[in-house]
Amino acid sequence: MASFRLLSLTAVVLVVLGLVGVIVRRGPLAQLIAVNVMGAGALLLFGGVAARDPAGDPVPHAMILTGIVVTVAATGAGTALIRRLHALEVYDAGLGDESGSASGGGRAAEGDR
Amino acid sequence: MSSGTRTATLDRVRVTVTVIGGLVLVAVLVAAVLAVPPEPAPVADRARARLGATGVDHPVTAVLLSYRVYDTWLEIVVVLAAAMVVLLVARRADVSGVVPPRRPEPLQARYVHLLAPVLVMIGVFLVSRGTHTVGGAFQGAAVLAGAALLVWLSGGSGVATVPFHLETALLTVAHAAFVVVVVGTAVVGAPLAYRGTAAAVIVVVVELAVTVAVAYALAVVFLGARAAGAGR
Repeated sequence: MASFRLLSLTAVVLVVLGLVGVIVRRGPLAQLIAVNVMGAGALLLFGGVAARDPAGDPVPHAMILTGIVVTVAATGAGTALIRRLHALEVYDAGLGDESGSASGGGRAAEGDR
Repeated sequence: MSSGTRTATLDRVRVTVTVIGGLVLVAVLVAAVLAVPPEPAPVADRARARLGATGVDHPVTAVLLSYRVYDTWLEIVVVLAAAMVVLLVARRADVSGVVPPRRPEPLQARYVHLLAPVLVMIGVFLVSRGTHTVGGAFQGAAVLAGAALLVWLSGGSGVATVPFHLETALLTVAHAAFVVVVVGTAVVGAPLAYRGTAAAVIVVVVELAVTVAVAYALAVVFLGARAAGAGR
């Protein structure tokens, strides 16, 4: 009961912190992390709702499980887009060259942020 | 006034507005959360009461693979879509030959060499527990994907040597299993309306397929994300 209130109020804070982060931060990586903070808040709310039941409500628990896997997959897809964008920016800035496809991997790796 | 100062002022306005809006949103959401009744939802008891018909002994697994199996199916498709997005962005058909960011330390390589079989055993153990107690396909798949990434980061190739056709099969096996189950149950009775002994078999088969597909898709997503930064 008490943990339901504590978890759901913490979830609210995380969701809003993440949303503010998405809007305020410039830079896609920071925004991706902020989206993850929002997602953590949403999952925590499910945890709080499940904690109302003394034995743990199985329905929100199952939502958390699938939610975590979807979050990880979405984060990976976002990371791929960010890395691709970064590789293109490096190329557009003239740091790449025509033979870049062979050595491009190493160069992009050095340019990691 | 230079454009730099104007940008800085605009930035300050944007941050201030966002923070104020955030505080308002906190108030609204706190009110919403406090309006939720603290009593347990009746659906929990109903989920536990009908457990006998689902063919499994653990309510969370019953929710995932029986009561709300549509949800799990969609979730499998989302993970598959994420893997496809990453492969498209990386302009690759598979993730074979993707190299990790740096050469592993000798100690790390040796340690992971010893650890990997244990991690695989833990993953399989978690999956095998799914039908009767805490554990299941998603937890097991996460451990297996983590093990694959750890091996890859430590100099082993692992999923980075899987050929294209096998990769396609591994990524789509869960979706295929769901399609077979939907068509099969639709022929016999109503789509996804399985219970009793048949349900026990269906749940175990689907759970194994979900484990393979989710574990492999997560590994592909992270290897593909690595590959997406290479070249122009």
